[in-house]
Amino acid sequence: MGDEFGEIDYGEPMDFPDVPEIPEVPEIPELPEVPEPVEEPIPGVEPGDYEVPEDYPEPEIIEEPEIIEEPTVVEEPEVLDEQEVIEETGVIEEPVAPEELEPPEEPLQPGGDEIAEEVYSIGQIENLNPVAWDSLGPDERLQTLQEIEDRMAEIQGRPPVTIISDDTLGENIFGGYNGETIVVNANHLNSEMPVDEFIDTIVHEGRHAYQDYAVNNPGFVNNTELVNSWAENQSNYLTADEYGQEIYVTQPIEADAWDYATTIRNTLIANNWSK
Amino acid sequence: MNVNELIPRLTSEFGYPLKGAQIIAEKLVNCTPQIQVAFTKFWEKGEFPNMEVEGYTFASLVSEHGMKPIAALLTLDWLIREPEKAKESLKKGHDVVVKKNLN
Repeated sequence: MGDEFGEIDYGEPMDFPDVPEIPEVPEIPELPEVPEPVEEPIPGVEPGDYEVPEDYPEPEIIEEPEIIEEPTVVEEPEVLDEQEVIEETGVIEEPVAPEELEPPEEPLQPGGDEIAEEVYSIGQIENLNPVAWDSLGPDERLQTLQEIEDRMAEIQGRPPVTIISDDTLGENIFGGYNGETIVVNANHLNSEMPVDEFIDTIVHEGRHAYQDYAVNNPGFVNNTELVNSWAENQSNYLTADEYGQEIYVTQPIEADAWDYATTIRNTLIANNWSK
Repeated sequence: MNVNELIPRLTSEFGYPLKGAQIIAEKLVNCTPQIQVAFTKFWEKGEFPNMEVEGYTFASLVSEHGMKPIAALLTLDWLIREPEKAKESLKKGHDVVVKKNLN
């Protein structure tokens, strides 16, 4: 193949500039020896106790899912009319009502958790079991009622009120609250009246103590309008003996106390408390 | 019978405070016909009614429940209008909360 091109003429040799000398590369110091990895001992497991089987599968590497932040501004979805939907998707679908897209949120029950906590706490008092209650004397019964009040007050976040008995109350007066103490009918305490009547009375009178605390400590209850109605009613309390049962039971502080105590009592019964 | 006629006597003779007298007078002028008749006899002649409603009488409400005459009449009126609710409430009795400056 070279004979076909003949001799190659390279011409005059070219002058190259002086190439600077390359400095000597310093010697690389020896790296220290890397120690052999030492296995951390596992408590309770001796070396050699366990060997990884040959067919042990390779661990699956699960990647962290990408966290997408919720947008703070929710834009209204573009509303397409039926014809536009068909044109865009080619599918005819039944329209979905907006309320069917997400389940409705459960309405919050005011004080719902507190009621449950109180019911649970009352249910833990052994002496309130009807059989145990029947075997108690009046003093022990009074102490047991005081325990209800102490527990209720703690859950409600107010100071507990002392409970005393009064043998001058009429047969149809179950109790009372005088701003400092809760009074129970001593004649009832000595009777065979069912224990749930006493629970109802203490929870009811304790609610009056709660109302009183709310009136005297602004901010304790957030509903100012409600607290104001309690304050006004405290100054204009309507007794059953002077105004009749209907006016008495429908005034704000009594309506609230009756509702509250009835809720506790019914929840206790619904939870088979006395069984 | 109207509210303004009742209030002065309710305060002076029966000892109700003004606000309380207004509440009672309003109830009395709107009570059931049977109780209006009974109240008129009591108001004008001092006669106590001899009537029974759902097992309750004027006398039993006064003696057993410790009610004053007008309170007993208003309770009988409730027993006529809402018997079940009224009976349930009466069965539960009542309590007493300390009174402050009823004016």
